[in-house]
Amino acid sequence: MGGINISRYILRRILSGLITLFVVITITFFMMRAIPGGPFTDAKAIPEFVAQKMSERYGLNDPVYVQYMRYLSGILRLDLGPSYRYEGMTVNEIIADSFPVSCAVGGLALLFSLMAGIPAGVISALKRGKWQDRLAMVLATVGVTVPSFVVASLLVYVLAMRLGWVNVGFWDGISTAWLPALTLALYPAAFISRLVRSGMLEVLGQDYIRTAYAKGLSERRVIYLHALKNAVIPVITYLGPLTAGILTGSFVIEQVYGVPGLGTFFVTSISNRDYTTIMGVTIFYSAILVAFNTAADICLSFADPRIKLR
Amino acid sequence: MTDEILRVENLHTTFTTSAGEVKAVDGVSFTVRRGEVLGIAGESGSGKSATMLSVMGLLGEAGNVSYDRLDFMGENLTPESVKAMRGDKIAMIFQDPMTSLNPVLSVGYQLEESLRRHNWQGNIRERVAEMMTKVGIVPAEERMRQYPYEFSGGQRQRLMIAMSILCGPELLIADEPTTALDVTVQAQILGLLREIRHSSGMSMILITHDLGVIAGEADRVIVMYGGRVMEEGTVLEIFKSPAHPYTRGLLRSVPKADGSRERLIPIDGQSPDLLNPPEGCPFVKRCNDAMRICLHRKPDAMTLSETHRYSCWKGVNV
Amino acid sequence: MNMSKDTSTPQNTPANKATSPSTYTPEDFLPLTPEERESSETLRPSKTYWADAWSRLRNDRAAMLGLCVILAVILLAVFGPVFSRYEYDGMDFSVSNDPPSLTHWFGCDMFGRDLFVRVMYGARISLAVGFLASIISLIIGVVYGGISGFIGGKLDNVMMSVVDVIYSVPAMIYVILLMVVIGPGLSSIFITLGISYWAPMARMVRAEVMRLKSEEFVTAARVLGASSARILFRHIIPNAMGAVIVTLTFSVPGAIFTEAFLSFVGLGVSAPMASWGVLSSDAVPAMAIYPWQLFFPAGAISITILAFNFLGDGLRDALDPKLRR
Repeated sequence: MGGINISRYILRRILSGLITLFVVITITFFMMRAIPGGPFTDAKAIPEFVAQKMSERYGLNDPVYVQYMRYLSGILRLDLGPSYRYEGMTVNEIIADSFPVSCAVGGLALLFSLMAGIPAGVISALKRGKWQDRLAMVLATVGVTVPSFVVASLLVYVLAMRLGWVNVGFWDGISTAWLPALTLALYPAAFISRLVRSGMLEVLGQDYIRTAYAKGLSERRVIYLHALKNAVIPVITYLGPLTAGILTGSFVIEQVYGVPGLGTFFVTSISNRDYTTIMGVTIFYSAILVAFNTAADICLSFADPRIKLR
Repeated sequence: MTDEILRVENLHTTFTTSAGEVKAVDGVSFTVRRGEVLGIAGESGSGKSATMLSVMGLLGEAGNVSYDRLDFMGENLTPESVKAMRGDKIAMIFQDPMTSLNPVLSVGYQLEESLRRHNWQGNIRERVAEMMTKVGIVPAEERMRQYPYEFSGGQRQRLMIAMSILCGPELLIADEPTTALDVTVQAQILGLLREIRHSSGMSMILITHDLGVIAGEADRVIVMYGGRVMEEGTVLEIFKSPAHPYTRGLLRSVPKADGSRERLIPIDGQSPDLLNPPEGCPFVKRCNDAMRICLHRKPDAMTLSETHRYSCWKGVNV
Repeated sequence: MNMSKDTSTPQNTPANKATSPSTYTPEDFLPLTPEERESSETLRPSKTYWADAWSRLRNDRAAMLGLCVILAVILLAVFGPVFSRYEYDGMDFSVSNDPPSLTHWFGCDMFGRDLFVRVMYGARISLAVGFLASIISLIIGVVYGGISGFIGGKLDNVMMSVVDVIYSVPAMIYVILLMVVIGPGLSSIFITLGISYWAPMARMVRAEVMRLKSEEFVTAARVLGASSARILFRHIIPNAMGAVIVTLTFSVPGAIFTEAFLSFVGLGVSAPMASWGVLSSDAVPAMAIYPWQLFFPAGAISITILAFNFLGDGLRDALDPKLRR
């Protein structure tokens, strides 16, 4: 084994990520085309001749394959096209405006969920059956089962409206990001702690842990090096779904907390039937996700040497 | 100075499970002398592995271990002192080499770690390479960088052996070291262990259910059943004049290499349920010579010679 | 065990002094009769797989609690609205936004509709979505995963790459796209969820089929000349049932949650029908003044999802023979 194999593996992962992205773009494009009527037919406010004009301007009268090729070539130039609803704005501009906000909240949530989930899972496995374990697992079960919008509304109601400890409904950078991020992190943190706990319990029963003890190694070294290094492998695999969860979770959380992020924008464009924005944001989300999945796969190949075989 | 390396007296081990208390080891005593190979024979569930894991303090929280005496090289072994001995003066290798090495750490790292733990004076890398070469994993320098999945089962057991002898142990406990391996590889591993023993003079406890391996490698033998010692003696005594009905049954159930065409006779039934162990002799259900007393009372040890003892009511003259 | 070096006595004597020979009687040394031997057997009774699983599940308090809650919610959803004095769409502006009281247990919404009956009615919709969507995804997943795993080879490779692609985009985004395409409504939710969430089921069924295919009892059946269909229906499917049931138990709350989520982003069922998700999302804007309008439906969602998770965890432990001790 060596460098050549690893770089070949990484190259293969990136290639398959790009193929996935291409499939997603194609499906999304044709699905949006499949909506009965044009994008302007349901908006009553627009007179027939204006709709006709707009269709022409956006090239909607061309054959579908021409539109598809045009869209694809746009994406190759990283151009997601104009918004149909926001006059004069491109989807790129919308994303550039609102994504940094979502990114701050989401990134913080990612950090919170790993920082809370992994230690909780380890402690719970080591104290199996004791009160620490029970407490952690009750919290984890609640975190996994209570929908995030319920938690978010509850927190807003108690912390903001009853106690007045925090202000919500406006955006002021990181200082207003932590509460939405914490809410967003609840489900993944709970899931990660369960993942780490069961992984840890399984690993601690393995023969190689007995070997490590038989070598005379200290308990600390056995648990935090030999066991943990194996037990976090599932967490790396979970990194893709974790990101997906935080992305989709943001649709609701941003609304409840009044965060002007991409999630809010996406939901608005759904109710506005702003098809190019829906399409563009979907593709943008998929690209992020494919990137994270690929990154997770590559991390995995470093964490688990057996992966390179495949 | 005694030539006794290890002395175990009246060892009891129980496991607390959700279904109740399991008596895995029930009053086991034995000694190991310098340079000798003690074989521990018995079928799975007889308590032979649990006995040695108890001595090593490797059972974790689930196992409750108690004993009258546990001496290693003339000194008392406490749960604390055994920690420092493990991997240094007492080493252990296990049955399944495929799962006994950590899959995410390079083998070189796993070997070096052992030397570092025991403050090896000298060049650690060189020592690892030397031991790997000794067990036949070459070129050592290159293979140290590899991960366990890149080795075959036999090679992994060689690595385990290399790891166990790194610090020059006085006693090596080999728990079914060849059971998971092909027959040809078995012979190689046993040969390797013999060679290391001869060059270093270390003692070995060989746990196996394979009587053939015992006959070939051991000096003395303990036969275990249901967590108790059924019979103890030199290899010659056990194989030429077995006294306990269980030992005899065991010997009748394996083919002999001397060309005789005796029928193989299996022992009917299965091991006792250690959750509710029989009140008397654990073997009573399957014993052809069972008597009433065997149901209710545990037999005492009968002494046949200085080295040969067995536990059976049949030997008692009333 | 006594380690005395006393070897001078050629005759065998018990070495342990605690039990001196005087306490033995000659009867003790009579051979065992077959009856006596039998009586010493301590075999535990063997049970069938399902009976054993059921007895394990019954001992799992959390799982039984979950099961009871689920049954209660189902009963309330089916019969509750029938026995209520109020209609789910009956407006009465004299009681609009009333807090919980003896006449209106959960209070009223802004149109004066009784929230208790609306929550029970919402249970019908939420449960229907949960079960129907799960069953649709179950059927697709079992057929897809079963074919992929049973036939194997190249077909399996292709079919699983499709699943991989589906996996790499969050299902929620598909669901939203599909809902935008077919338009909101109850039946579109069934369809959308059904065709979006089958991938995990397919993967699980395939893995299970692959595992069972290599099991010895299947090889044995094959050697005995059983047909492929017989092996699939008599051996593989019954043995994969456990895992399928567990996955199903977890996918029902998943679908309920997704429906609630869709309502929150404005893609739920339309008024006057209301699922739990619609009820909670409608209540959010006025939550500072009428918090109970949010808490009751949100509590109903949380408790139901929790109950399904408890039951699922219990079922997994009960049906997984690997965990048996």
